[in-house]
Amino acid sequence: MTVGPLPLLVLPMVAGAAAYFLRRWRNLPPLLTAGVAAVLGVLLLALPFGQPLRIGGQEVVLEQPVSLLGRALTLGVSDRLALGFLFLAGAALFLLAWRFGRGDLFAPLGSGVLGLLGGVLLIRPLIYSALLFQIAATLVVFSLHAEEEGPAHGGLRYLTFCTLALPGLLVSHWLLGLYTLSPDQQSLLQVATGLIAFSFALLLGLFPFHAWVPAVGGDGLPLVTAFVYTVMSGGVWFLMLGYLQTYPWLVQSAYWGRVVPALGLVTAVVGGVLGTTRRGPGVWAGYAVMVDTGLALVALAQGTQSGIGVALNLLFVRVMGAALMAAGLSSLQMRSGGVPALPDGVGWQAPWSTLAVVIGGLSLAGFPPTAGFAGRWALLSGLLSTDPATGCLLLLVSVGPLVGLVQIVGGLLRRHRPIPRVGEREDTEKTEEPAPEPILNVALLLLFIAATVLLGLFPQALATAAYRLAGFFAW
Amino acid sequence: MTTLLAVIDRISFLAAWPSVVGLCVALSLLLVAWQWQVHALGVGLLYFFVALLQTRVIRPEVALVNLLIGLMIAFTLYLTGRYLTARQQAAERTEEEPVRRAPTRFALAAGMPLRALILLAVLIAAVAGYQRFPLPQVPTDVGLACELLAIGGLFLMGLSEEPFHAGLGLLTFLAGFGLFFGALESSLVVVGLLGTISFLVALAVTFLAVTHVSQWEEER
Repeated sequence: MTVGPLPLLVLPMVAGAAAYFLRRWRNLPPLLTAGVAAVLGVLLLALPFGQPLRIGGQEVVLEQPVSLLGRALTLGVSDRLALGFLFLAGAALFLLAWRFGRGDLFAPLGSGVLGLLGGVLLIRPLIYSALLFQIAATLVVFSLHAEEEGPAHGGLRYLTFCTLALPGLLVSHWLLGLYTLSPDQQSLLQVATGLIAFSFALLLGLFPFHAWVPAVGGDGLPLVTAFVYTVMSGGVWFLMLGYLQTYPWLVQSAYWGRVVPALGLVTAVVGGVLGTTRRGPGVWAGYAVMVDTGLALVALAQGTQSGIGVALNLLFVRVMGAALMAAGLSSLQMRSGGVPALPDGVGWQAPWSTLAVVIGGLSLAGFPPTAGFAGRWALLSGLLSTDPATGCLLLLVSVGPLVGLVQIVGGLLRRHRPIPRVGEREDTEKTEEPAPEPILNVALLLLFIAATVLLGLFPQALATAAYRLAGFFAW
Repeated sequence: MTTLLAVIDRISFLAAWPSVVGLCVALSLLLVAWQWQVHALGVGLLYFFVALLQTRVIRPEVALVNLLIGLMIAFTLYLTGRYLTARQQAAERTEEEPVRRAPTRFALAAGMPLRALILLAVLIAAVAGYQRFPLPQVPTDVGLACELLAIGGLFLMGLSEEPFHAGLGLLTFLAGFGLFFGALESSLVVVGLLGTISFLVALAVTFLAVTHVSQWEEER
């Protein structure tokens, strides 16, 4: 029996289902799903292309095409690298959920979503990818907010924007089918281009469709928010690259060279300006992601292998910053009663978590010597020599989130000492010392902090992988 | 199945302009009324008339499956509405406030005149939109119904930030799009996946509605 790449879809879903039923044991679901995702991710990146695997005495060739519901399911080299990244990013977030997770649905649903994202990348025609992505996005919403806790604006907005993006992708597929029958009707092509562009603008959260990005960070659980910003966004990026590969006339369009960089620039500027305001760490992370997305889009618009490589590298390094910051935030939120808005001075109660917020935030903002800086510098240094005006503007807006981060960290570390009123005796009672951070939590945070700094100091490995992957998508 | 198909066959005379009128009624229930029971009824009616119109563009069996999914969605919304109301009343009782009786009659949404105007605007926008951009591959009445549902859904989404009410807009929008796309793409897998998406969206909306009400309780 030929199974081809089916295990890449089925195994995470099975792990997710098993994790759901094992929720009684709190540690087991995140570890199980992290393990399965990590094994699949490493397998995809390490196994030579076309080499068969021996499972239970049977040979499995992952690259062998199979049919799912009558649709082709194929695993190319680019899909292997893309899926490997998504699985490893998911594994990192599930591992953090083991110690910092709130809400017990993230690991089971997240693992199922990874399987669906596998389907998004592997199934053809692309109409099914769009449908599977919509299912994945809807499932994520269930884990985005803790049960019976807090507001739910972020989830609703994410669901709304993803749903509004669906018709464009489906109708464009039908229009392109018509175009192949009557190639003289250029209007079909123009309408399809507009619909595809509109849909991806919604999914990526480009200005003016960015409302969901800060909203998700504002009231979503930190680790699930990081999942949306990295894994789900990664799925959208690879789906978009799949569209550009399948329909090369999209990049040959006269609008591509003007509209795409302009959209990226405006998104980065809006994210940078709004990132200077202090509206809570989750919302700030959303604005930082907007700047990152804008920069990646500017890089993508260059259309060269190095441009696409820079865009993918930005996506890769975003995982470190977003995951680390989310872990730190989650830990601090647990100490302050689970509310998204952290009280002033809470940072002193958990110094390692605060350090994780600082280092993760610096990486998201693209500040040296963290992983985020390496990705940005590759773009900005190139732009400063070829297009100094755009380069300077992007450099300037990159500073915006940094200003916001300084305010957030200032709030976390602000010491409150109530001033006694006249005639009132100063309260001399000693306040209860906060419990120290568990050693496993500290170890995990230190591991991710070290990885974030090391990837900033030695960025070649990730940059090379991104450049290699970009080679498969370059046009 | 044969019996159900026979029933559909008998009421197929409704599957044209009467269904468009029925959709207008369903939309007005969603836009103007405030009671969750009326909303659930509105959603049920909406999916019924959409299924009737679908019999014109896709196989009746598939339309029937879509109707069943729609009725399940309406039932889910009904249960959610009932749960939310019960919880709200329980919260009021624990605060030892006099228990407000839930209005038993047809309750109109706050700002009813504005909402009635919005309904009118939706109807005008749908008719004008259809005259300017007629949808391909579908008869006039079906095309108008699609635009009516899509525009009505967008308005419903924009009118409220509450998950339950905004979710009604999402579902209305998806129903309109499903009616249109069913005519374009005859693949059963696509129709099935669209139905799955609608049901999952309904579940997500109800989940969000429950978490949202918790916050309201906390604030109280």
